[in-house]
Amino acid sequence: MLIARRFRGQTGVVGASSIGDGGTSTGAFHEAMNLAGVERLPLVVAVANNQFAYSTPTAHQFACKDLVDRAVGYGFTGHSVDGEDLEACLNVFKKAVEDARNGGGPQMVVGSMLRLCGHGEHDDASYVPAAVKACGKDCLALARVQMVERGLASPQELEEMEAETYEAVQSAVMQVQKEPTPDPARETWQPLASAWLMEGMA
Amino acid sequence: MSITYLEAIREAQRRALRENEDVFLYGQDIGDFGGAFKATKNLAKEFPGRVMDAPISEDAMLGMAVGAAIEGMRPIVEMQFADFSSIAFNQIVNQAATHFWRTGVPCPLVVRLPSGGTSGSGPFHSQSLESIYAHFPGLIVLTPATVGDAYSMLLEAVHLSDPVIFCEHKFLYYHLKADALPEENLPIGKARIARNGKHATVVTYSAMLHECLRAAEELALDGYEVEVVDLRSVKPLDTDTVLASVARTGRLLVVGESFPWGGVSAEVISRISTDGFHLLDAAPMRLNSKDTPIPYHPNLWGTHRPTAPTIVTALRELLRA
Repeated sequence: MLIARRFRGQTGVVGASSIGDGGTSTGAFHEAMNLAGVERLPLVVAVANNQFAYSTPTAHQFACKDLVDRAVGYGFTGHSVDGEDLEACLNVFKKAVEDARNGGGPQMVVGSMLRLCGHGEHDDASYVPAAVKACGKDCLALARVQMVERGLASPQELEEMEAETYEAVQSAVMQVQKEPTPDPARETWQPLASAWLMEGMA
Repeated sequence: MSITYLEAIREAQRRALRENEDVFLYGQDIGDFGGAFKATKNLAKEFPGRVMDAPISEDAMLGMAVGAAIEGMRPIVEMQFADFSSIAFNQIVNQAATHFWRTGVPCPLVVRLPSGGTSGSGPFHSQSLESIYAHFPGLIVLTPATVGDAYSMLLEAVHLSDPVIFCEHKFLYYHLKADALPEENLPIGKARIARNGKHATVVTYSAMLHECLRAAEELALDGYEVEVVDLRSVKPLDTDTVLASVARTGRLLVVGESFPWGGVSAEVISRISTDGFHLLDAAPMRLNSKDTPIPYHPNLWGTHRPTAPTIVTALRELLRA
């Protein structure tokens, strides 16, 4: 997508992408990071290292000391940040986005935290050792405290923001629930934009 | 003037670049070097910045092309060999092929696959993957057998708003020549009767067309008139033209260079057996490569894939049945 914008001569664009610690082990991640480095794309890649990919701890995921060390190999500028510290995250991303926008090449931000819940609703995360679990902190709760301490928002403003967000999610859910479910008889079953090339087997 | 199959592919890309500023080429060694087979020779000079060298990262190359395509560009990606597209398989079949279905946003890109065997190329530089890609909804799979089709179908592919797998045959690159490029041609999705006949129908595509035509010539010496159908595109597959031919001949042989298990040959036979069972005077036959990896040694390679003599043998069996 950044290549398309470059062809169109659109400047000042920054692309953002996020991935977890497990996703960094895929071949596609290495290839894409290398390609972005070669093309010096204005890209910020946020890696959330929450210590577990589904049930697999990082020790079984990668052997480098720190994921941010990979940035050098891809031709990225690497940034480490405490993912539980909102202010630190804001500062790091501000710099990364500015540098990417100003021709500094692609940026990789690795934030560390602990996943406090399961991989999905079905997952009780019982594979996380109790001692590790005890170290985990809730990023959102910490952010609330920090925002009030730094005077970024009052407790009342935070409550309002949360209420607004809750409302937005609820109304989206309501709208989706009101819409009719897909009807197989009315479905076009069309995987091609070129409808005239359909073979009638759908 | 004479123009080769490879030059036709280059000219189609040149014209696409000239006529549509959304078109760009992406592939390994395709820039100043002009590509492993020279399919993009001089294009980097003529269209600065629009013929891009890629790292050896098929997965990321297709990922980049999908991103550019859904933003409205029309990338043409050159795989150095069709065999290497397996590394980009996820991006092709899970991302590009499903994109329009999932989102309503078209994904107009062309993946050029230098396909098929040449003597001494061995198991990793010879494969024909049209059957694999034809299996997936959301892809169009083209298999040009002539210089004119290589040119016009590649140009048409660039105009389509769907992902197109363009299987160009390496064996035809330098040997196959035509006097001129076509002004107009059959559209994608239409098969062509390459030779008229009445005793048997041979359905084929890509380089096997030329083996089948040679086989038909040999049988003509014995008085058999074999009709040869060139599918041109395997997806969509022009069942009507094949059915009409079988209605005239009553006998069907399908010839393909890809592996025998499943695939285009099986699909053609399945369709004709279902829709045209009453037209058949004999059980339909197919002839594909052997069910082994593709051998290096020319002696072995020459018997691994169908050739005019083995097609003649199969046809004689079909005509006796």
